[in-house]
Amino acid sequence: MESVGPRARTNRLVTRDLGDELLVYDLERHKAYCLNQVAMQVFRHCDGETTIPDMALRIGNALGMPVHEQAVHLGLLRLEKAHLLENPLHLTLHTSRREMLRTLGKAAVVVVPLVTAITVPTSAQAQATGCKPNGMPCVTNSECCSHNCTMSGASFVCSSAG
Amino acid sequence: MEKLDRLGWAAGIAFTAYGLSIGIRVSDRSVLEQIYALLPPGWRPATKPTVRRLYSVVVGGPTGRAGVRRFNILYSGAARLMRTHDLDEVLRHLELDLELYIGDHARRRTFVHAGVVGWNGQAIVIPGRSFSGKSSLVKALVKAGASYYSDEFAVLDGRGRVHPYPIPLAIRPGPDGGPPMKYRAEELGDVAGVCPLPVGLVLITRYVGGTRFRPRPLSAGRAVLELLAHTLPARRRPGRVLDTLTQAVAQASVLRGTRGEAEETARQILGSDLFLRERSAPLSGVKASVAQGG
Repeated sequence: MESVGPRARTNRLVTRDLGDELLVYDLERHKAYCLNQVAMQVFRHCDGETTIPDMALRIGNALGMPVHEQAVHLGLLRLEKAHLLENPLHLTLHTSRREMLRTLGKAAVVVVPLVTAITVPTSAQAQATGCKPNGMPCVTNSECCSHNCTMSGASFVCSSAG
Repeated sequence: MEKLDRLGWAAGIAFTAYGLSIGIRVSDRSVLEQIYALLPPGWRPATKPTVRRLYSVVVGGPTGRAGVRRFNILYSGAARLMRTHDLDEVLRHLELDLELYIGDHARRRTFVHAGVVGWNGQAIVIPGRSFSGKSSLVKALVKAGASYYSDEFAVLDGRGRVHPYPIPLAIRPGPDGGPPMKYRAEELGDVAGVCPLPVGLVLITRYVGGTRFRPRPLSAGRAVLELLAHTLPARRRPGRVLDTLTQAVAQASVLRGTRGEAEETARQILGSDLFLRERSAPLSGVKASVAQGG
């Protein structure tokens, strides 16, 4: 039987529940997400069966405040963008995302679903080792301590700024 | 590797650090003293004859023929990491590769690229990349009375406590480049910390000239993401890393904002009740799930 509602992805994810936030690590893309309370609730209710109006109602009950359907829409869009849903959404939005945020913002800031993402660095990127001193060959400015990679003869080298 | 083994090796060191056994062999005994200075804090001579990682340093220099110089070459196992006429460059690369290997593979510790000082029995952790002004702030905090823990890594145990990694503080001279100046904690007026500390404050900041330090609190989840972006084994062991970072921020205040001059910021941090004011309730019942497959 075909599911009627959105379904959250479960494969190759590591999650940690912090109470009012959810951390999600995507083992396929090496991205990590922090879902705020509303986004977490939307994610939790994506069981493939719950419809969006039902979801808004249930999340509202869980949070103890009314949650607009547009907030659920926005949450789903953000989860989909983060590749945290199994099936693609086929939402018909009558308003733009910006307009949606404006409407939600007027209602209450706390009901806006937020999904914060980072790309998890490799160990070498995380170590963020030192820069190249003047005179060393370079390709980009960011490699140099002086932030100045300039042409010298036939090659580029780090040199004093200005 | 056999070819490499056949080269004449004059001396070597085998040591253990953070549960890893590492060997370094050199073709010229005279560079051994410089190599000892590069070893990580807390290293001990290895008791077993085999090591998990072996570095080989072939020392170059002038040959008998006029105008001909041999290269200095650095190997890790059989892989050549660097070949240059500048021996200092080889040694710098060796130091960085050692740090990277230990930080990524340490068994019971999680290495986060961050500056750390101790204050009132708690650690102030300042994660950040190079050029974010991390070292200057650590130096200013130590000068203002905090104890020095690290300029390079916050070394976290499974309970989220920070252990000292007291390498000399490296401060870059300025925007025109050049090698960093290195300072020992003692030179800055304090001694290095010894005991592991719980994290009291995570400070996500960078230097922006002319600004005042007016940080805003950050949620625990966002704080974990900020730390994760600077954690060496994050991709290798995501589950364990998330557990450790969650533990670390569980009792901590987390603040984010740009800062001005390091000395003024340090006075503001140590002279205020930032720790207590922003402290959130400890996280209880952290639930975990791992779903893999498909």
